[in-house]
Amino acid sequence: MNNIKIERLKKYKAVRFKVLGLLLMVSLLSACANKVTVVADIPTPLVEKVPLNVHMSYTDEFKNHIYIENEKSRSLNSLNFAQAQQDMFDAIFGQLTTLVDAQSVSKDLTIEPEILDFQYTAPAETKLKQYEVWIKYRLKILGSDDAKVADWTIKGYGKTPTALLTSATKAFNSATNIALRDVGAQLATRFAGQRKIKALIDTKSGSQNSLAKNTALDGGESEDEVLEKAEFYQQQTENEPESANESANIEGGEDSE
Amino acid sequence: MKVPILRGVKTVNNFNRITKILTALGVALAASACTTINVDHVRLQDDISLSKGDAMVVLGRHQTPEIQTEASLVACIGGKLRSGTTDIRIIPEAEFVNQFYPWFEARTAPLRPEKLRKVMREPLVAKKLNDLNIKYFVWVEGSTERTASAGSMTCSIGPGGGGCFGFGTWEDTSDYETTVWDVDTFEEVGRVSTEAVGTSYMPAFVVPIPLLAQVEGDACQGMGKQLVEFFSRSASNKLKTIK
Repeated sequence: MNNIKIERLKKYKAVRFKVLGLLLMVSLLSACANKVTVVADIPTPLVEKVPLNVHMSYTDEFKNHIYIENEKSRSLNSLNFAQAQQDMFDAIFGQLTTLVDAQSVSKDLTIEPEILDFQYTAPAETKLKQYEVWIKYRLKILGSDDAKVADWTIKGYGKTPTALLTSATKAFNSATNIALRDVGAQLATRFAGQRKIKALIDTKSGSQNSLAKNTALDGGESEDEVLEKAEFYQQQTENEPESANESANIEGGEDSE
Repeated sequence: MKVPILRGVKTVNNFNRITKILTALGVALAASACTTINVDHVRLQDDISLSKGDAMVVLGRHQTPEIQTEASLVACIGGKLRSGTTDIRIIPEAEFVNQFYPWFEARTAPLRPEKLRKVMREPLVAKKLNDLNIKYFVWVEGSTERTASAGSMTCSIGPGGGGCFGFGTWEDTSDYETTVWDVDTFEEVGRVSTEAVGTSYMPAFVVPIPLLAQVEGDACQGMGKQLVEFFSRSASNKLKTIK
């Protein structure tokens, strides 16, 4: 009888160790995000369309970009946000402008985004209870004759507190989405106000006055309102908050870096 | 044969004594794990006009990496206003920010009422705000941070089981400021400031017993109550008081 009891006790202990080991392994695995694929969650921007026909040009490198972590000790193995970033650019410029094919005769601009840098931090590295993501893009803006109109360097930042999330995968997905959303917000609010773009819009519309008349006919806005709006865009560009200073520079024909 | 029985009785007696001591300790600490709140309220405009069908939105400030108001607190204040009102709609932060993307993002949200006026010059934004009947913006800025901690605790696990021993204590401080903007006049009409300090304890004798001070929750309760009172002073609205 005693032997049977001892055997049962041994079995019970073995099972308990296995369960504890499994729990420990699961908790360790949940702290690492091996391969993360980001799913875009960018709302449709509430902005008025500018009278420009834009072709979005995505290089193969951009379309297939996957961030691969070379440091084995870090939290992430790879982060695939290729489709998410393409969805973001399509959502923003699709609402802000009229998207056309590369061969379209009515094409005014070609915009080719390029990833300049991607960085991240995780709680295991910083001892802070948050995941952070930085993404830096350069937008090459070309005219209808494919001549360079401008380069626009823009950065996005996303941060997610750990308290809200159940896994590192969700945290990286959320922080990357917030960073993409940040990039999209800057594009949507500043694109039409940028000097070169604004000049192009004015040129295409003939003059600011004719634009006012056309808009008044289309949307019921008065000439004064349109001029006021143009002034607002100008002010917005001039009065960027300090935190945004590092985020956007557009220089005609030159790399702003 | 008697010895094991006597030992058993002694063990039970000891266990009862330890249980009583732990219970007394727990009760004493639970009584002391409380929060001190200080709520200041400034009313800049007496005429707060809210009527049936009007809406308000409660938004958190996130303009820099350092200023990150907790979404949980913003939702909590929204909930307090919602439960304290009958005919006023409180639009959830995430829903509002998505509908008005990109104008109320961390980087683009207006920091002053005059900036809101400029955003409202966007025809689509103005139309949507009008359609939703939004009358007031309630901005919440601040955070809850750990300001002190002491004590130590050791946990171990072995073939015979595991347990923790020790004692830990920490202090959390909430510092929030809520500003209310009138969408029609583009003016700040009120301000509620809250500072809450709470100490939590965690004694551990085999099992850790957390005696937590709900600092953020208490700050939300204080601010929420004050905001409901702020809006309920208007004769035209239909607000009831939070109990």
